[in-house]
Amino acid sequence: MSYKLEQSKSAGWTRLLACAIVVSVAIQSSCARADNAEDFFEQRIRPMLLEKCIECHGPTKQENGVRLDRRTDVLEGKAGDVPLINVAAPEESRLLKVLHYAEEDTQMPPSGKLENAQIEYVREWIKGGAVWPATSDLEDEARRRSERWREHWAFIPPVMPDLSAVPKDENPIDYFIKSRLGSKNLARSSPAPPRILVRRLSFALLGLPPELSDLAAADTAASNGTLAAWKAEYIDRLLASPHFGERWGRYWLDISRYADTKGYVFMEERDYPDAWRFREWVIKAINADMPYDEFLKRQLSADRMPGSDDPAQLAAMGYLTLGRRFLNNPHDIIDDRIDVVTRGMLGLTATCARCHDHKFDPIPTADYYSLYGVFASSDEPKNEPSTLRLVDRPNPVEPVIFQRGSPGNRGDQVPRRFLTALSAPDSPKFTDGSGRLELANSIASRSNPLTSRVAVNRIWMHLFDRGLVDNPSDFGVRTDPPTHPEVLDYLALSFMDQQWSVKSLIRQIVSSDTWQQSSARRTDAEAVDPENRLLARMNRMRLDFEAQRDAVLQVSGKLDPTIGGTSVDITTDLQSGRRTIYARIDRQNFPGLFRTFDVASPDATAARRFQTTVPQQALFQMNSPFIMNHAGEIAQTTAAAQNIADPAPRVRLLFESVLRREPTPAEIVDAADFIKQMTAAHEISDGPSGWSYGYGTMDGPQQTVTAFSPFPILKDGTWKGGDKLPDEKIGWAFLSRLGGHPGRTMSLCAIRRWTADRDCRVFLNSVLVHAQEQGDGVRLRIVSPGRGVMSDVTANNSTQSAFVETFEIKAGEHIDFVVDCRTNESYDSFKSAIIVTQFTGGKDQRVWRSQADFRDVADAGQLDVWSQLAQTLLLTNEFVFVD
Amino acid sequence: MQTPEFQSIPSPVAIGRRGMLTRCGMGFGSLALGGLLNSASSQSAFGSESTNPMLPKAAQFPSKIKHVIHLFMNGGPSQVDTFDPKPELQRRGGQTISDGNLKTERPTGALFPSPYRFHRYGQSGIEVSELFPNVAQHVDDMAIIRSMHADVPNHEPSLLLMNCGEARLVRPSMGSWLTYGLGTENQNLPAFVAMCPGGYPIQESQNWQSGFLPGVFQGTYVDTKHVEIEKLIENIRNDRVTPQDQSLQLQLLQTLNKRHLAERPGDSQLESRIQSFELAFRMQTQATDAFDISREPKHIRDMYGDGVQARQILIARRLVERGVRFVQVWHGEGQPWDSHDDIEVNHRRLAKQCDQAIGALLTDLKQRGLLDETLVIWGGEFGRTPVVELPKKGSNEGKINGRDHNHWGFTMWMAGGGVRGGYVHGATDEFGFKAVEKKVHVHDLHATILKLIGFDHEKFTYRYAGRDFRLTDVHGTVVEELIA
Repeated sequence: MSYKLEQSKSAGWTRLLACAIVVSVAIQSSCARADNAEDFFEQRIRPMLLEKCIECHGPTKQENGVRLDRRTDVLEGKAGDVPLINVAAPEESRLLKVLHYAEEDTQMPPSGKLENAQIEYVREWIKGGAVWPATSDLEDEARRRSERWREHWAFIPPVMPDLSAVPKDENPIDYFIKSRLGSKNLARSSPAPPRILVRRLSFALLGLPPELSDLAAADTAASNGTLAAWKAEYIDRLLASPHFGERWGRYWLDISRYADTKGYVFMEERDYPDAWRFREWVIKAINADMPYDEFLKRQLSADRMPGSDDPAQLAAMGYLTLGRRFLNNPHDIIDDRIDVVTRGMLGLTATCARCHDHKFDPIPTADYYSLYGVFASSDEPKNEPSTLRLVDRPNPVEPVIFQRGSPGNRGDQVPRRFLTALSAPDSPKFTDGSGRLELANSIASRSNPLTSRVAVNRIWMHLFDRGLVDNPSDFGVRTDPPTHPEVLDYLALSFMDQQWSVKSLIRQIVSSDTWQQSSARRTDAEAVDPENRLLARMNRMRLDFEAQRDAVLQVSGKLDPTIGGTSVDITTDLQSGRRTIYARIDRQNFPGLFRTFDVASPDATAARRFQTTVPQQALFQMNSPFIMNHAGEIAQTTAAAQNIADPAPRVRLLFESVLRREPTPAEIVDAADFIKQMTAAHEISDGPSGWSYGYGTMDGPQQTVTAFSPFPILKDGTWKGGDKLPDEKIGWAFLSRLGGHPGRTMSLCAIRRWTADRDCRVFLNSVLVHAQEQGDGVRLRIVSPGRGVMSDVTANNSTQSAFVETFEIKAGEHIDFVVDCRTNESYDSFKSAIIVTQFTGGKDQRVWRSQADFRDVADAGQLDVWSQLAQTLLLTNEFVFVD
Repeated sequence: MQTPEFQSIPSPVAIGRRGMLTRCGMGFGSLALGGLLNSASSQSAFGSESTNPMLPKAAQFPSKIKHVIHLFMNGGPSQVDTFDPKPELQRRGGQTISDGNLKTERPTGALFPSPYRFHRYGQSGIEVSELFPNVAQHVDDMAIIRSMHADVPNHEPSLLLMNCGEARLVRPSMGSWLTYGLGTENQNLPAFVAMCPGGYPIQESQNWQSGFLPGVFQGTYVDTKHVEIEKLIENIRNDRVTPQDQSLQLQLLQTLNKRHLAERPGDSQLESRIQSFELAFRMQTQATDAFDISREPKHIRDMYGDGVQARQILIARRLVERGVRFVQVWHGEGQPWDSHDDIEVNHRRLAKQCDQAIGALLTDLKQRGLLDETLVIWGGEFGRTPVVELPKKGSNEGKINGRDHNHWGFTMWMAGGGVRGGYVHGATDEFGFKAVEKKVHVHDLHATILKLIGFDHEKFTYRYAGRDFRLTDVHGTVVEELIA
């Protein structure tokens, strides 16, 4: 659809230069007029043709049969039936017309109309007889330009830099980084202190906070001079941890636009029930340090590799098959797969070539359809043990170019083969089935200049926060060379030399002095290198969403260390201690929580996440049940250290649990003050405040509630006695948002209790509805221990209101809204609404509404002072940033 | 509930759009960090700027419009029954069109006259059907586009086209583009709010997706069926920590954070996170207030009327009044305006639900001087056929009284800042089937909306996957006649 318009607009004789290497030709009107016609051509016309036209109308392409690089083709050429140049009637020249954008369909160049001055030159040139010197062919120049991309750094195979000057005991990374710093008269920072380094390593490799024992061990090692050996051992231990695969697997899930659902579907199952098996495969492969070339190959063609009868291995192909389904439009599904392969594995953007040749990179439309053919020749078999796999069709598709991306507009046939720019000129086309295996071999190949570099750069980026190349999935001609080309090439080549071992690569980087240096500010370096591209210090990094949530789980002792398994909806299952990588990801309705915290969109491959700071993140930290529940857990674990007289011991324990360090004296003072202040405030209003829901005895003679028990169960939005109604013990008694039901006796009244959170005055207003003809109705009494019954109404197939004029109440005191069954409990469902208007002096007023405030979350309860302190520590910058 | 500590926070500092777009364009706030490290002088003011992409920015050229309210009549309202009267259709009811019917989603039959009467309104004398008597009072402020057209007669692609400018692939919605380009004026509320009572429309939250733009630009969905604030905005309320306690918590937090920062001077990431807590604390009260229409005086609530449409349209006004950039108001879950049968009853019911409130919205905005700076857009994803839909087994069996989807021609209207009022643009054919005069494609509408708001749709781009993307892709022509 969207291509339709484009198509009709360009139905004329040519189209989309677009591809122009856009160097704007500055026409300086002050320039002296060319002396003669030949000079005029050379100065005014030739540069314009080269810049604006020849890419689509030159030696490589002749859109609509028009060619503008050779004299005779221009002077004698036609567009349709109309001569390009008509010297006799210059205004009739088709060239001039399209430059003027005079025609509806054909407007050249399509990227934007030329400046008037330029068009005037063309007119003048035609009027002057369209003089084109016989010696001035543009062809060679045009060819040279079309080959310019070959000089782009990323397309040149990596070259091992000269390592002869690197001292034996120096990490080449450090050598090269130091050299560049030295050239700016800068030096690396001092090593990070041991504890900071331990924390950095733990988060970088596992995505989890360090163990207290390791922090202590690092200190010991530093004091007895064995730190270097201890670090090496620690790094090896982290690399061997099964949690390593969870941390680094998540990065790959971003690349593979992982989700548990298909996106928008119509009358079809929404879920990919086996999506998690792909995640499982990724984690295992990374933990096993599967060579990266094999890692890639299996994801494209596990069906053709050893283990092809093992569903666990075939799940690797989820990389291709777990994309959005686009209502099962096959062209869009294939487009998504081409994108995840080209950007995800090669760092090249190829999908623009679906409609036209890539504007900048050497990826012609033909290449896109060569890949299209590969995927169009791969089917997803139905009713298989592994729903993630692809198999080759018996008769592979011979692809044709869909002009402007429109399947109805078939162009030339193209072979299934690899990208031409990355292949030798005489490379054979794919002949083995769909060609998927050959494609995999071409990507995961030593001779591919991109694959290894792209991988190395991303790993570097995750470790340093910034890649050597700034565009982790676009190594095309518009991307600047790496900040340290020697480092990138050295690592890319040694990565392949070490059997594409990701763990070895990571070990080499995190063992470097460069990575282990301090992140403290360097004002001297900022002047020269404000973005710290030269790495005179380490970058301070914020934990991503996964690491933040996992860290909360870890420090609260609730982390479930199980590796692997099915997905869990962490937005609703607040009890789950599963690591965040196991979160169910619904592609269609991507949870707000994930968006808020910059989790990668599951719609397209993403090598790098956005990093935003918005108040919704803070709201989650301050108010979400997840954070508060875990703050409560942390406080619980420190309860043993409680000492009314001296809060310091428990403060110490809390700091140790959450921040993994001793508090400073100033921090102990601040935290102790907080506890004191808060406790004082709470003493006035100890106990719960707001609404609670229970049943109990309304004692007539005493005019008050003499027994109150909270309902034990909250289910389906109803507080009640047990899973089923009526409950064995308390019968039909229950309370819900809109009303409830009393029990059968005066000792089973349904009681909504409101407790004051502070000293205040309140005004009470309530409505009771009994809407049944049968039965004898229900009675509502509003009572408080101090004031007895303040209101007493009965509703029997009617609606009754009850008010209580403003009165004073102390913090912690309560008011009961008691509903009883009168003489029998038949037909006693009721509805009720209660409004407590609370005045606390001045303008402060708060309205409590029984319906709007109804608490249908079971674990809700006021957070105690210590839990609040624990929560505050979870909120600190220290908790979410890594020095 | 504000403590003195939190009242003294400086308001965010606006910065040039160019700088902001560069940052957003690169997408990584931290990239801007280096430059900011040097400007140590105004750390707190600049702190959140580097990583908060929501700070207000100027458009490419001056525009009065600061807000957009998009009233989305999902399902597709019928133009010949609302804003596009067709005497020839009335005259020739029951006859067949000699050249045959244009192809739409389902089989259609003879010409089916509108059951409603049209009247002239305002100085412009524009005709509006009896379905929208209150909206009609405002025709002199409205530009009615009777020559809209889209690409296909199906809900899914048409919804995506109308919202994101692309029928199938994942692209940012118009609201996301605008918040990306303009940020928002009130940091205490979401910048882009999509309201739909009862659940999602067809195509669900993709209608307000941010596509390849950062996730923060996605619309915040609000189910206006609810009245409780905590069901409207995630984590806006805390029942377990009182506001007093929370302010003590935040005081301690900021003490710890500032000490931490003092040891790490010049790091604007740390600074902006400190500020985000202060913003969030204020957001709790302000957002609660914004969604609480009980704070409106009675005469205003009466003016909008009863029901969920009235409530959400009044909320829309409260939101733009508070600086929210883009508010999309969906009529309801699924596709309420999709009257394949019983159109007379159904369209009457649907219009009755929203006419009074939409009329009130325009009156209210005008009275408050907000109409000049608010663009109001009304319409569906397409219109309906002037010919009757033929009964089909399993859907509208036994009925011949509805209309099929129609992408060939339909009506939308705009009102407010910068729009040419009292103006009818373009026309459909004699029966109201196909746009024939001054046709306006959805891409053209997008280009025009962007122009009204201050953007050149060809230059308002975002680089992604090697390409500079636009809301209008490679299409769109600004319809200058719609602009006052």
